[in-house]
Amino acid sequence: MTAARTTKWLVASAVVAATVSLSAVDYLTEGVDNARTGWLKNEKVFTTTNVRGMRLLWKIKAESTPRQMHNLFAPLIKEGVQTARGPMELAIFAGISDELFAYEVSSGDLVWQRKFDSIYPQVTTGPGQTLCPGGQTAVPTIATTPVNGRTAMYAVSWDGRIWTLDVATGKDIAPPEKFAPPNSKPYALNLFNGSIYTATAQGCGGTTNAFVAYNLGTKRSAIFAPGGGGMWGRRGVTVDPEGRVYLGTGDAEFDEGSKSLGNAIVSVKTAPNGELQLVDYYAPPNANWMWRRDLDVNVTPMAFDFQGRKFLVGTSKECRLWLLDRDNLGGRDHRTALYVSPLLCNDVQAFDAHGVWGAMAAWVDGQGRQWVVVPFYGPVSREFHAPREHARPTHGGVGAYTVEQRNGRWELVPQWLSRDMDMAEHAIVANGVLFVYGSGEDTTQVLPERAFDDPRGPQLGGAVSNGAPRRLEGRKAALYALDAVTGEELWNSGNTITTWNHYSGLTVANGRVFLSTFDGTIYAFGVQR
Amino acid sequence: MRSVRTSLIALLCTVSGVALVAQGRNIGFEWQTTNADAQRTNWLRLDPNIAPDKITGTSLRLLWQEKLPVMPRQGVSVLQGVTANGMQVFTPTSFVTGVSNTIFALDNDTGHPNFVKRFDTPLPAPTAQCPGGMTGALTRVVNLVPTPLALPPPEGGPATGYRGSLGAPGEGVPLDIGRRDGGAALRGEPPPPPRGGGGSGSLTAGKYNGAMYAVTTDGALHVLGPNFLLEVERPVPFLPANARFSNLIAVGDMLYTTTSQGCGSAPNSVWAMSIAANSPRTVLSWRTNGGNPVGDIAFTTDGKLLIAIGAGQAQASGYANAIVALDAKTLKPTDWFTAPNADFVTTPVVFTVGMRQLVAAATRDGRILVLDTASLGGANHSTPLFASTSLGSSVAPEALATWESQDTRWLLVPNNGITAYRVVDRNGSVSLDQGWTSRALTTPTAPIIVNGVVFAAASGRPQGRATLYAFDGRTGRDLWSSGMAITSAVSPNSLWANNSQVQAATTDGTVYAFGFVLDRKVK
Repeated sequence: MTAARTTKWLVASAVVAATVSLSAVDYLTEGVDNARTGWLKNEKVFTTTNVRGMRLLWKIKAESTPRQMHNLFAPLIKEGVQTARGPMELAIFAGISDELFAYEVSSGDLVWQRKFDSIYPQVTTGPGQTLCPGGQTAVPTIATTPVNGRTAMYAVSWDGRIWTLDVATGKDIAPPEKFAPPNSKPYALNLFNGSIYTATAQGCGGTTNAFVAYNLGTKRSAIFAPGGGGMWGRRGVTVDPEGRVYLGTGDAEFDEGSKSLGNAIVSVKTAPNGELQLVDYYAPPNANWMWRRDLDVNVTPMAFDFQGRKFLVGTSKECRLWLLDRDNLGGRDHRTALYVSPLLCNDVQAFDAHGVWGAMAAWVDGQGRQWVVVPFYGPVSREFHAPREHARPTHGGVGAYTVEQRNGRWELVPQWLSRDMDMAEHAIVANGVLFVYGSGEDTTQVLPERAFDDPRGPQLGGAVSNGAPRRLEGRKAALYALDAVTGEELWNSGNTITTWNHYSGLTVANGRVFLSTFDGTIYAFGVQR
Repeated sequence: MRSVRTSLIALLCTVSGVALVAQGRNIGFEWQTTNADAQRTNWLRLDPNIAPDKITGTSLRLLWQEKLPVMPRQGVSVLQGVTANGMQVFTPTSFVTGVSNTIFALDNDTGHPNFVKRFDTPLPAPTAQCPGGMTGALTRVVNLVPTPLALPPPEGGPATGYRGSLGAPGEGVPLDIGRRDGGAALRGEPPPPPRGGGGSGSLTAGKYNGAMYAVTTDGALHVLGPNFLLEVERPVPFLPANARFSNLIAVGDMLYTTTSQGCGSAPNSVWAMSIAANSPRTVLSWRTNGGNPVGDIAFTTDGKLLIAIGAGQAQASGYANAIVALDAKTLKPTDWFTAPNADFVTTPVVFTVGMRQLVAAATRDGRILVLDTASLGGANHSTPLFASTSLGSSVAPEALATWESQDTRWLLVPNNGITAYRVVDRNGSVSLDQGWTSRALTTPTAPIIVNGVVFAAASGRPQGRATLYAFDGRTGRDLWSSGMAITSAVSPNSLWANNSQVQAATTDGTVYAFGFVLDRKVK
């Protein structure tokens, strides 16, 4: 190559790189944004056309250590990270065993890894159990502005400390600080206005189920316990543009008289003095019945503004949707939603293997229609019908709605129903493409019955099943790309993914999709860039 | 199959001013076998919500109705349900026998048939005398003596409600709120005493972990897991094929039923089989050698098996017009009562008055006979403790019921309505004193009692529509009726109750559930 041609190639490459860089997106927090909409608004690489040609780019087995049914969580993506090897786009995975792994996205090369230590060894020990696995459970979050000149990522370790790490190296930018109670199972971190928000869940480690917040400036930690159970929304808490923080509570009585806000969606906000204060709450009219049936409000709600209204959409294991007004969550009695949908799934109202467990998405299409997309487990409900149904799912699927005003009231109007999927989980919408995966997990929590002629011998079922048999009965995860407007399947991963995952997630950025499985394998799919 | 389901969305909670209990995961108590218990009292002793002072004209609602896909046989589609809470951990369930060899596990909260077990067994052509199919309802194992029921104790103090706090810089969240032990474990201290209040104990007597037992047309005994209705044991021969058998009952390690009317060439008999694990499935039987067994087997709390026998020609060592006590293990007769005109038509019902355990049954000529279970007919086996005058031919050949309020033992008789007698023991002399009589009920069903509230239906048979009523158990005062909710006739002996609900099964195979809405409404 002549010097002139070399120069031209370098210039062209730089232009391409600059163009790509200019149009590149980052995935800095679980659920894409503070409001947990799952809508990757600025994604430009994927299209409904090119996604049909998506392929496996690489797969790597991380040196991660599983705990109970957990291993790796959804990665964060940051492009243009100035590493020792030059600028890189990194995918950073948090692992359940207090581990972090950073990979270069195009090659899958490991750039750095680290493991946290613990200042509370007396409680950060032992194998854990299915619902309380111990370890690091919160997807970290990356700051949008530098800290001490470095791109900073915040993570919470098993002992409850908050870490400020250099995305380029994984090293500390600042010393770790005490934050959440140790062994408390916090969920994905949400950075808003200088504070990190999350929630502690399911009484793990003897912890109170609560909203918790860490002020990065004052280093003070605030807690608000709603008096309910749960608080295990997969994407952590939602924060709206007004700074109000939302999450559902789980199994406990809803009783305003005793200030017990079980099975409700609760909103808090940081007061000027740093405290977390109650703003509002909504409890479905059948909240206490949901409690009896263990139908937690277990899904991170989504906040979006549409046609001048501030909406919040919530759902639960019960598998119906609540459309709420963020300025008046439940009306005067805290029990009145703008709209309550019929069931999308879970006609049997089972507490396991049915309902919504993963994460929804909310997005606006080119015609200005506001969509709500809901992946679910188990059979679709007899109550749900859409104009376009690609199947009547029996193992799981996705239901899509538009938010419309009809006869003076706001409604969620069914638009399409997807093909069948094995335990449909997270939804992310990117440039008109809906990415969703089926975890293939054995989500049953009830010991099955076995007939007398079962080769393993008969068994009276009904007891609560733990992780051990569920790990054995897991199937295969699968990734799907659907047309987000029509629900048409554009691509699927077939049998590429060889095992299942549990309570993990999905990340999309810059023409790539990342998914991991219980055995620690990371799959990177993508399209030609 | 498309169910007809009343929408909970349309219901309004109209119980303002009345505190209702929806405490803890469970919300009430179970109906563990047909007619409630081994004594066949038809009495659910306690309920957290159903009580005479909590029922008004509109407080009980139709919660759901579910039409089950069952081909009726001689006007009967489904039999009385048996319930268990905590199926699949959280689901209260009614197990309903469909006469055409089908078992349904209905979710008592929604009516949804979560599981269905169909047996592929040929059905004979039905006749009035020999309807064929599953003529007796399934059962679970029940205690000889019903487990005492109790509501949880009052809360010890205010529960800890929502609260917040702010930690000092660098100290993390305040652990007095952040951890239930206030951080004691982290400091190496013993945990603080638990806070009072916030109790949410289970209201059930305990989750049932056993199997369900059912017999199909071919006489085979099937043992089903209650959570998924899978057959956890290989079916074994039990009864002659096509027999007409009564509702099953399992007490301890034994399963029992009767056969009557000569159907399938089965003799009039009591049948038993050991269901203990690893025991041989040997069939025991005892022939009446006389009349037909009537209704169902009942047990005294000290383990005697009682069977009522109707009219017939008693052969040598045979019985007719009798109540016979059998040894529960060997089925050998240990006592009996017989009288020429004691053509019994109802299941014996066992209850205690004072220090004595009594049994009562109705005869075809409309009398109620009360016997001492310690000596059924006295020295001559023919002397009842008490025999009422005839109530006429209107005594329904279904079942009696009995319950006890604080100071009174009641015996309820379906007779143009419900007649409630006080069973009185005056210095050893037992009598039935007139208590109250309900409004007139055409072709009444056997009554059931839930925590002092009597439920009975004007059955609507043969082809009308039924109406279910609730009465104050002490006065007979009307409390509530189902109005026009039920659109067909209620089958004989087809009411049951559990978890603040009352269910009724109709001749067209529909199960209706009535109760308080509580927190079931959706919008």
